[in-house]
Amino acid sequence: METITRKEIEQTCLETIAKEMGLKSGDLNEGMNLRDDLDIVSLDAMNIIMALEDEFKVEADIETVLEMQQVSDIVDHLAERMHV
Amino acid sequence: MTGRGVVSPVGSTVTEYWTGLRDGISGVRQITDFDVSRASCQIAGMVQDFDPDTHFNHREKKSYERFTQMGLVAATQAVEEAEMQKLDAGSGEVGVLMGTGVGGITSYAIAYDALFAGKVERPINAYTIPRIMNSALSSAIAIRMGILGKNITLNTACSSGGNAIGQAFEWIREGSLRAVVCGAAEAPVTYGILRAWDALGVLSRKYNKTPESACRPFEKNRSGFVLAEGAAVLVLESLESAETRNAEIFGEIAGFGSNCDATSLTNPDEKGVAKAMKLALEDAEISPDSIGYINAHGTGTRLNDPLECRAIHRVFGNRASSLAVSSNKSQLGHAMGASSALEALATILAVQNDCAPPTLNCIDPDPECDIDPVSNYARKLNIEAALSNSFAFGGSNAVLVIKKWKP
Repeated sequence: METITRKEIEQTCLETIAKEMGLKSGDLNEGMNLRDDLDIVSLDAMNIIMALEDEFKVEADIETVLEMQQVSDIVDHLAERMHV
Repeated sequence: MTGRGVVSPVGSTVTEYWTGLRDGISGVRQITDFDVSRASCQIAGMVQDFDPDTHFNHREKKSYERFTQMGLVAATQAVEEAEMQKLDAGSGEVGVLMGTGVGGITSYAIAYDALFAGKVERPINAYTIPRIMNSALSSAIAIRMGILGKNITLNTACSSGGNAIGQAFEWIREGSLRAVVCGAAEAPVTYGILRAWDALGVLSRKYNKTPESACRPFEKNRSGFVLAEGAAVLVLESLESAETRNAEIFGEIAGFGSNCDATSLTNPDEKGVAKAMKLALEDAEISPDSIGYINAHGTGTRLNDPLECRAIHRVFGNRASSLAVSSNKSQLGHAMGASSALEALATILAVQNDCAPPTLNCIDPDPECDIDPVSNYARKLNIEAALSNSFAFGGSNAVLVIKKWKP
């Protein structure tokens, strides 16, 4: 299996968030706050994480995800789950 | 009544709606949203050019199913016409009461497809439950307008809208609320619902090539109805409230008759239907002779139309034979829970304009339907008061008396 990099996980996260929230991925960065900058509420977060689980074939910890503050927290969590 | 709003197969402003009905326009079309090649009935009353992007931001589009979207657009028209900002929506004295039959049925279908047919790209969308829930529209109206009073959704199948308007009228009359945003919305045209109604044998199957001819209430050759979608919303308020703020008044809900046949889940009962009309007239404290027009339930099925006409005879006696009685379902199709709200609005407009809208396609009237069906062309006539009839599966009848407003 091809090794995935953290940068690739970040890019997929940004694209998934952009699609769910009706934004352009180029306007997003991983330092953004999920609620204050991106207006993500729990239902959006669920859709985003389900899409990422599907994409990366991993299982995220939903309670951890719902506590996250920044895009980078999601990227870190997925990277940890995938041992990247 | 100080505000009106509508999204319908013949127009999505009150002016377009009335013009469409009056001029005999049909909103029944080929269904193009999904494959109907295996369905016997391939047509429905579809709202044209409804663009959610015009009305909703990204979050609203995700959160609101089509019936909620259409209802919210109609409610926004009604509230703007009523100048709701002068009604102090945050006082708790303004409420919302909306009807729907099948609510967010499209999201049900998508979720089931995801679970059982693997037809969607990933698991169930997290917005599925808020999109499905029948109360989504009532809540969405309150959220958008900041309405803090009672917020209730009502379902009595195809009389949901009539019962919602009638119950709102009672809330105001008993003094528990000063104003109510009320009506109904429905977007039931999915493949599953289409096939399910067809299984009951009540959908018109003979006119797939000429959809505008399909629904033929009171006609000898009637063969059933077609499904439809749409929404109609009214702002009702107490006379004192409307006069205090100098609001324009478009008509008066004068009486409400609501009862149950208590005989069958699917077949209407002549006595129960007649009783609902009598209750409405008694509630309005007017005699049958004051009624100049009846907006019929008029489904165009073999069973309903003669039964409704016999019930009208029970209430109106010999006068029934010459009474103007028309069915908007001939033009709109049958929007289930929303049909009675759409038709109540049509009745208001008929009274306002002294004009009975036509029953389209009523070329060869059935002698068993011994009324004047206002065949094919609208008719000018003096209408001081009118009835709006709606009956439903389960026997839940709702009849409204609508009177011309005279200051």
